[in-house]
Amino acid sequence: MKNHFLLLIFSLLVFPSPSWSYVCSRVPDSTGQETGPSLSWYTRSITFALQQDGTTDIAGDQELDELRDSFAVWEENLAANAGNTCDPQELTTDLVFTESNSLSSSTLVGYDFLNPSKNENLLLFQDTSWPHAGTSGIILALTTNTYNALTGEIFDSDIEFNSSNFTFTLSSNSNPQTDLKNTAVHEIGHFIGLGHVPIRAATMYEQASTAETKKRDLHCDDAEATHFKYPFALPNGYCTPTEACGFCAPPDTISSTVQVKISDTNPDSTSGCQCAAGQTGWLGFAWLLLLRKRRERA
Amino acid sequence: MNNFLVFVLVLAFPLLANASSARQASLEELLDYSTLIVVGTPASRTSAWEKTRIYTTWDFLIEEVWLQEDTVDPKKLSALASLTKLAIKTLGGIVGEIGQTVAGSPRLITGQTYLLFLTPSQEGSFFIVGLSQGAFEVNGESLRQLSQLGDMKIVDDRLELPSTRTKLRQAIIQARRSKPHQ
Repeated sequence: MKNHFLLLIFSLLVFPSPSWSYVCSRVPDSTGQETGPSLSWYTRSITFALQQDGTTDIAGDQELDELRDSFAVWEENLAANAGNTCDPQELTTDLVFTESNSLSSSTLVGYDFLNPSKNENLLLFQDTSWPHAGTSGIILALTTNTYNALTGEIFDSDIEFNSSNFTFTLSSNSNPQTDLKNTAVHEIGHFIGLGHVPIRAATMYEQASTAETKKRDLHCDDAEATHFKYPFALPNGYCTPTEACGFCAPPDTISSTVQVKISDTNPDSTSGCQCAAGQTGWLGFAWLLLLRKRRERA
Repeated sequence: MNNFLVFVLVLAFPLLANASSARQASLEELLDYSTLIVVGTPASRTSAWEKTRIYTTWDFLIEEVWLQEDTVDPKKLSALASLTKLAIKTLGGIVGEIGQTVAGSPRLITGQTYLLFLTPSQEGSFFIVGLSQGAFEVNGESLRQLSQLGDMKIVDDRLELPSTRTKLRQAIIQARRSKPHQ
């Protein structure tokens, strides 16, 4: 056992985490590499909805308050939310997260593009079963972003918490199991288009140990990312993609009308549809309507 | 657990660094969750909507197969063992002008060789265990867990582990042998 321990110590010393700056999630190219525009909201006022059932892991509705508090971590004075230890000290954003007027009865994760009014930026607990095969005891939560592949504009984001396999606890709990705020603050980072970083102390570090709480607030790297992407009273931040600015690449130039073709791949199925670029006509018009409705919603 | 497997796990841990909000799965857990472990190359892919989600299905050409025999229907064993290709599904993709991404979902690249820990889906295709945690890029004799760091790869010679692929293969076989059959 002693030898095993020494091996583990040796590996930690020899393979330290590299220092790194923040990372913007980006649109992948045809080979699967993320080389396209970075994923970004085009509005600074984002509405989210909390699923009404919450989780039975936590008594009452306290878990919903914890989620509201988690959004607030990514607002306003980011440097303060990172403990006022950042250089530069001025790291701010005008991102505002607003809760919808009522709790949601929906469980729709992903995007219903044929019924855009049904979509919400939903946060829900999967208490009864976790729907993603092969991940049940490993993945604490998943964020699904739906975006315009030409521009990187995010128009829907949903967060699922794996409460059927993990027991979530509040930040007030002195004996945390899977700390809800620790998980939620990280997922909200994905919600606004941030990717994983290999800085172990950062909120956007990809893994969480049992009872971890360090992601309840921001690391300076996370604050810098949000300040760059969504600077106060300035347009979204983009750059010539380099590591130094998190590869936050600008949108592609759109030189043609968006075209959508929809075909039912299985006429007997009620669950599938497929769309591809190419055909104009009423479907293109429907797409434009969808875009307009989406902007109205935002 | 034998010393060799511990050694491989220790070597592999610095590479195990990719998933959404996730617990780090050990190699043993990846084995527990998987029915099939394959080495091969994605040749092509198609993305399609399934209700409100986009999934990408990869046509995966198999070079080597390991089976978790106790988790497979005996009638299907020989068929699976002789597989030359299979369909692998991952969350997310682009259909037309709409894209969907799930943080932590493995982004495979056509033509690249991978070692994948797989679990079956209901329609006959397979999902990768633990999202990107069950996907390893194979480059010659080195092996690296898939990165979710955008288009950046952690390129660090210190992480190049000669013959890891062979060692991991042996570890998988060892773990399978030591696993009690049900």
